[in-house]
Amino acid sequence: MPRKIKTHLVISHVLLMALLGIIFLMPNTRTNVSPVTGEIIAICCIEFFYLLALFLGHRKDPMPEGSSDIILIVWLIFIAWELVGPKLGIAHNVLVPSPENVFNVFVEHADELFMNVLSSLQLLLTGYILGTILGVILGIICGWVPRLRAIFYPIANVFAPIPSVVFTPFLVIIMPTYRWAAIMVILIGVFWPQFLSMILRVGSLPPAIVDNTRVLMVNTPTMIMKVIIPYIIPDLLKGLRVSLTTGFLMLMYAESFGAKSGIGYWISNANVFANYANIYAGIITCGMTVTVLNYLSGWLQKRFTTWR
Amino acid sequence: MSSLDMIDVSYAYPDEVDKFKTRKHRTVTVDDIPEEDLVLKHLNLHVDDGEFLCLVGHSGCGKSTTLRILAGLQQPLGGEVRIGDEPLDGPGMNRSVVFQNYAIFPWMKAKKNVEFGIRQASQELHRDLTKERISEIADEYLAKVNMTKAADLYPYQLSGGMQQRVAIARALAMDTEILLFDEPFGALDIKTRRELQGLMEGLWMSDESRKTAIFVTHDVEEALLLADRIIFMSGGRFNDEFTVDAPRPRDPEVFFETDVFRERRAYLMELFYAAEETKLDQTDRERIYEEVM
Repeated sequence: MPRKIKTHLVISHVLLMALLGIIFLMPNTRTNVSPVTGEIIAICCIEFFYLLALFLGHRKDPMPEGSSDIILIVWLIFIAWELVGPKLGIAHNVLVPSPENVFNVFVEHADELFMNVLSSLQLLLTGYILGTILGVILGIICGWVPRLRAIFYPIANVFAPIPSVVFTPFLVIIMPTYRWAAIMVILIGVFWPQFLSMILRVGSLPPAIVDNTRVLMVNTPTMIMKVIIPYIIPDLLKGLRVSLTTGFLMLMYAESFGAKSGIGYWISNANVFANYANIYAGIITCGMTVTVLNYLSGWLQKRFTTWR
Repeated sequence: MSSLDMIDVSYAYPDEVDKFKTRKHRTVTVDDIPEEDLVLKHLNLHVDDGEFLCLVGHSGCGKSTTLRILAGLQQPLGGEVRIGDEPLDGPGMNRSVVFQNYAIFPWMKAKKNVEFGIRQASQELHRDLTKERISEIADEYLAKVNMTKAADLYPYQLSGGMQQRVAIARALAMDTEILLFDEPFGALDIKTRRELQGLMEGLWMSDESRKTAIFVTHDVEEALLLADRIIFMSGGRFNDEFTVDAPRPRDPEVFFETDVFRERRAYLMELFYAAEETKLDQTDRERIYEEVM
């Protein structure tokens, strides 16, 4: 193991010890501090993933110091948060809740948070998958037929940059339920960029490849299955990753207008009651969900982009 | 296995043709277009069964367009192409083509590329090859081009020379009557090019039923190494032609020292220079013409 990681390992664990020392040895100034269990579990998880990244990932990682640097920042934030929050009581009691209280939300409301995440994922994935499928299929068709491309490429260029949230008023009236309106907002937000990128990709099929398929007398089904689909897959997967971010943004917006569940609803609801511990817990949940989804789409991209 | 004829073949780019379309006059024929706007000008050609013909000329002389017409990728504006006794109508499985760029599909492994060609040929020609047989033939031809080890590699993992080896393997494995080559070694370095030229000549010779081959290049040495007959093209015309009567296989080190090679090379170079001069003349003439008008 390189020297640099060793020193990082030492520094990060010194900081971790300092953090634990502060948590357990310093008396609280604040009176409304929750049990420390949730925070300790969180710290254990962070340490676990850090060690995992360090020992499993350092061989392939071009910047092995990266995870060590990140962990230093994380522990410093925790220490600062503990100090200005519960221990010294410098920060505002409501705006900066104690870390104990924030992580206690995960313990006390675990089932509730989980159900909300599930509800969000349901909305997100329905809209995202439908939007992607429609975008890809229609994109391939419109990209391949010159006349359709001439019609829909300019139209797509107009609609793609418009955030789908502006259609909300109509969608709420047209769609049978709020949930479907929310799904439509995500669907439209994901559809246009994917549609546009597929039109461009199919249109950019190199003429030399088209010549090759012609001299090999490739028929239409073979053309689609063996040439066009393999050709667009790298761009499609790249698009999946980008539109995941778009989809998540749309989700957060969609859940704030009519939903009765979901993580976006959780946050906006907590906002109404100025329950900042719940807001922070919601934001952390969002971060974790996005990380997992990003990781999955990254894996998909690696798995299926084999030819370049 | 099949002779090939071009009878009075002319070609002009579609943009050029469109210029002569009017409301009353929707079908444009060769006679409507002034000869200087034709890319190919009334070409006549007979290629014997089993002959190796090289088309040589400057870039823009029409040699690639000729090959594209023979491949069926472009329709001649006038005249016709015959393969054996059949008039040519679009691409067909009696010909296989090796291109310079993207000669193989980048998303298929080397062997899959070869198999794809064999399967297409098998379907079109109703050879009804089984999956196992297709795989066997692919292996056999990959071995012929010394690419057995690379069978499971994607084209991006292969050098340009190796990619062209796979493309040649595919073209030969399809077992078509005619082979068409559009500057297949144009993007390769001189060493790889020599290797592949030797390999190609060997493969073409070793075939029990020697295939008719038409090879487009601007490399004079390449043409002399490979061809039975060379046609020099310039300005959309077949300007000159001569045979290369030299024993095969032609080892460059020996062949380049022979008089046959030296004479023919000197002659070809002269043709190149002469074509260059007429090109200059033409542009000069055009400039003067514009100034006067």
